[in-house]
Amino acid sequence: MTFPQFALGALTLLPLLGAAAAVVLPHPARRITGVVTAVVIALLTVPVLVTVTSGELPELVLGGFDAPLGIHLRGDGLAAVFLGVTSLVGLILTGYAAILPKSTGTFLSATAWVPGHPGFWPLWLGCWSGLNAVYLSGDLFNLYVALELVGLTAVALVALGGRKSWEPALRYLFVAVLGSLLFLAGVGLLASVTGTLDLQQTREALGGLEDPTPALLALTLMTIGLGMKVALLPMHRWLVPAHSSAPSVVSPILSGLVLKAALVVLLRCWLWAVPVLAGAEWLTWLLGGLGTAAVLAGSVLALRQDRLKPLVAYSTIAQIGYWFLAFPLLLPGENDDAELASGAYGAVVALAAGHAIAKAGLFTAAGFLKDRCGTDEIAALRGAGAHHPTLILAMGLCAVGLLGLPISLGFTGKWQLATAAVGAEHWWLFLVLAAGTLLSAGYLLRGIAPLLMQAEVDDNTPAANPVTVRERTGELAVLLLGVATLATGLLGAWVSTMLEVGSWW
Amino acid sequence: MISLIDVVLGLGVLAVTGLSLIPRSRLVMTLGFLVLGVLIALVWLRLDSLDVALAEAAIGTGLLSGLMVWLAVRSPLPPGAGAMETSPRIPWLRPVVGTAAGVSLTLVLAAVWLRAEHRLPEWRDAAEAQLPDTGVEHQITGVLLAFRAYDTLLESGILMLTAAAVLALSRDGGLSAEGSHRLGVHQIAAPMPPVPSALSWAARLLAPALVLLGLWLLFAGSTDSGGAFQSGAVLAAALILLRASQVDLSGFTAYWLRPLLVVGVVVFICAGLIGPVLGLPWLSWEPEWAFAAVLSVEVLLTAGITAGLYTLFLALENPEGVR
Amino acid sequence: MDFGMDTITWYLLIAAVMVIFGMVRLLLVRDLLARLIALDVTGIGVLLTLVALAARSDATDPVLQALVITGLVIAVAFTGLGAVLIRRIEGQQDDPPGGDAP
Repeated sequence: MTFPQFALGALTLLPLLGAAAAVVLPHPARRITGVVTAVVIALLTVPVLVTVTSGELPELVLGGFDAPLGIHLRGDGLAAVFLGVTSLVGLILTGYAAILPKSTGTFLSATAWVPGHPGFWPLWLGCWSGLNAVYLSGDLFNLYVALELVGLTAVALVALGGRKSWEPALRYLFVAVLGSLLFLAGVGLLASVTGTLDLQQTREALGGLEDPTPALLALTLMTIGLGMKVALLPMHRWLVPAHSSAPSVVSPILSGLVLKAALVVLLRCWLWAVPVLAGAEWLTWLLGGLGTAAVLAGSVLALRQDRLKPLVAYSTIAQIGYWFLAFPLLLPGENDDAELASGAYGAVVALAAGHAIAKAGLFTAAGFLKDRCGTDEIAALRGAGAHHPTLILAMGLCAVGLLGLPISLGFTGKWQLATAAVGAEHWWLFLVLAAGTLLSAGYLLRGIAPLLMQAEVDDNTPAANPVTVRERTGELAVLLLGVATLATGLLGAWVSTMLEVGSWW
Repeated sequence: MISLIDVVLGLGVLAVTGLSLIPRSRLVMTLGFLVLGVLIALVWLRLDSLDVALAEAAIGTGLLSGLMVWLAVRSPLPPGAGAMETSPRIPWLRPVVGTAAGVSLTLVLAAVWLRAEHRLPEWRDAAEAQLPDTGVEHQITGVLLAFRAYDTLLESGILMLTAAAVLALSRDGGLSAEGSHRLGVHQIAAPMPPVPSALSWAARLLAPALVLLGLWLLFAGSTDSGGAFQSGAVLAAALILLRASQVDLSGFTAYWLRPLLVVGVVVFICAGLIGPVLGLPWLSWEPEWAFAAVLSVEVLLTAGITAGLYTLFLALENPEGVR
Repeated sequence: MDFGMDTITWYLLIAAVMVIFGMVRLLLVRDLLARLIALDVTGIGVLLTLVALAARSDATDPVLQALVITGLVIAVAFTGLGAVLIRRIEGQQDDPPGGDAP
């Protein structure tokens, strides 16, 4: 067994081991366990990325039992890109949570609500384990189990935010479980007509099938289920309360990483498990339409928010729309233009990866201000930027990524999407992209500009308290995310080469 | 062809499904759900799935319905109990729309699904050929702990983290108090509601029988139906019974709950690591020591499952200050 | 006795009814416990599908059965977390308003 193969298994199992260790340890030791595990995971990502860059596909047959009986782990291009992004964002957020424990939620002691939740550490490590499991899995049922691991820990992480977060957490639980049950129903339907659970074998078996209706129904079920988990427009209403009431280090995890897990599974279903089906066009157009609606409605709703965290959460809903805009271009149409499809696919991945980093940064910054000033009402935060120049700089860098300005992965993604739209003569896409960009400029300005206003804060408000060294270090972590937003913009070509490995075309 | 039993059983399932979905009273719903569990266990038996039937009886009906009934008894009438969200003008609109949507969706689903050309699973021969290498004789245990051990591992991880999550929602976030190793689950101190002494004695007599049953299910698992999950559920039920009959388990909970919670997952991962150390893939068992590995993993996994399910029950009671 | 349908199809049909009506109820009802039960009914429906598929072959398929056991445990985990959250939410409603709530 080679080292990259070892890493494939270890990327899932070691964080789970870390989570188990954290359950039995006291609070300070949990923090150390968390940081150590995060560093180890980030190091283990490197061999996988190196192998994929060299054009090889690392694959591990767990237990030596071949598919369809056993489970294969495949570190293909899609997995590698998201492993890399998750390790980067995860490592920075772990550091942030270790430096500023109060960002991890509040718990009830014998007498009062105490900031700094010890339950964060096992749940976050478990969530990370589930994320890596989703990216690497090559088996439909295993994808379901991994999605549930992510969903359960995500719900529990929301609930760490104290009383006000319990109802959003429960609502999130209902949606997340219903979504995965619909996904499982689709898996069962596919298995009944193919006789296998492995992704590649499913594709081969479906290719030989005459009647596309069962596969189409399965794809529809899975898409609805995963659409709930990604919070695509009509199924988005759980997201805003859950993401904005979560503790401040949890919101970036949810918006940046957890949503991507469902997106990856959706791409796996559409592009890997199911071959191009006759009759799937209406579904792609439906998704494209919902994506358009999400970009517009999400942005408009974000413009109308008075508080910072809900504003950022609505911006997530708008950004989710971009990923679905590409769906009508994603399947090679009548003219079998595979290049177009791969361009659209690259655009989705670049947009999602860029969003993961930039949104994590922006949400962490919003949470930082909320923790420090005790509120996230934009009016009350006027002038808060005067004490936090680093933070404001970081927020600006992240905003560049969310707007899709050069240089950022968001720009790469929009560029690729526009190129594909030209190739397919889908001119409406330009209108949506332009409108979305203008609107996002509007809401980002509305969120960030008041922070820069001349301060009219009284001296006795929390915002005027001296900034501690820990808080300064936390701001640096956010700045790191902002810098990463731009730095990853230079890696667009690398991402494209990686996506070639183990791709479906 | 279909037999009369299946028709009756199926109709019964449908009726009880309605009973657990439609009523407004929480108690009726939970009792409907309990009966549904029993009927579904019978359906599993009709479909020749003894293992699933055992799991359903122990986990589904036993524990799950237990949790629900407990919840319904503790707060039978929350604000707006069981009411459909009615729009003020046309109160019948939502139920009618819901039913209509449900019926049409069912028809679409059934039309496609029933016409689909089925293909039997392709893993059967491979499963039979490789079963001897796993050291167990029962196929389902072989699947759970060897062929698809990764799924089982992640799933026991889910149960462990659920327990961690409900502990996090308890007093002190599920931590020991400062300078102590005792776990401070608020429930330990809180007295259980008093029960009649006859019931208490019955529970004390029943608990050892349940423990025996649980152990039997565990060790039967390698050759026959049964296994870690069924056994863990029965053992957790025994613990709950003991606690309900006022037996003092606080020492056990304070010192042993959290270690037991994680031991299954930790040992599973460590056993999975033996493969990479020997140059094999993760989660490989060599035929020579496969049985030893699978058995020890199964025993400790049972401990973990027991602790996890018992924690869910413990955390149901609200800590002071929330109530 | 012949009702024009085989056992597997019959149970698949029942499973479809359970999934869909569980889902509809989940989306329409407000009471939290009723939603939790509806979610579990949906879950049982999906698992019933898998068991019916396992029973198609002469000897019931072990892999699908094992998957169903996995699914059952996951359902219990989620229901447990949901039940605890419901208890906390409703316990808080009994509280007098105010207090030092974050």
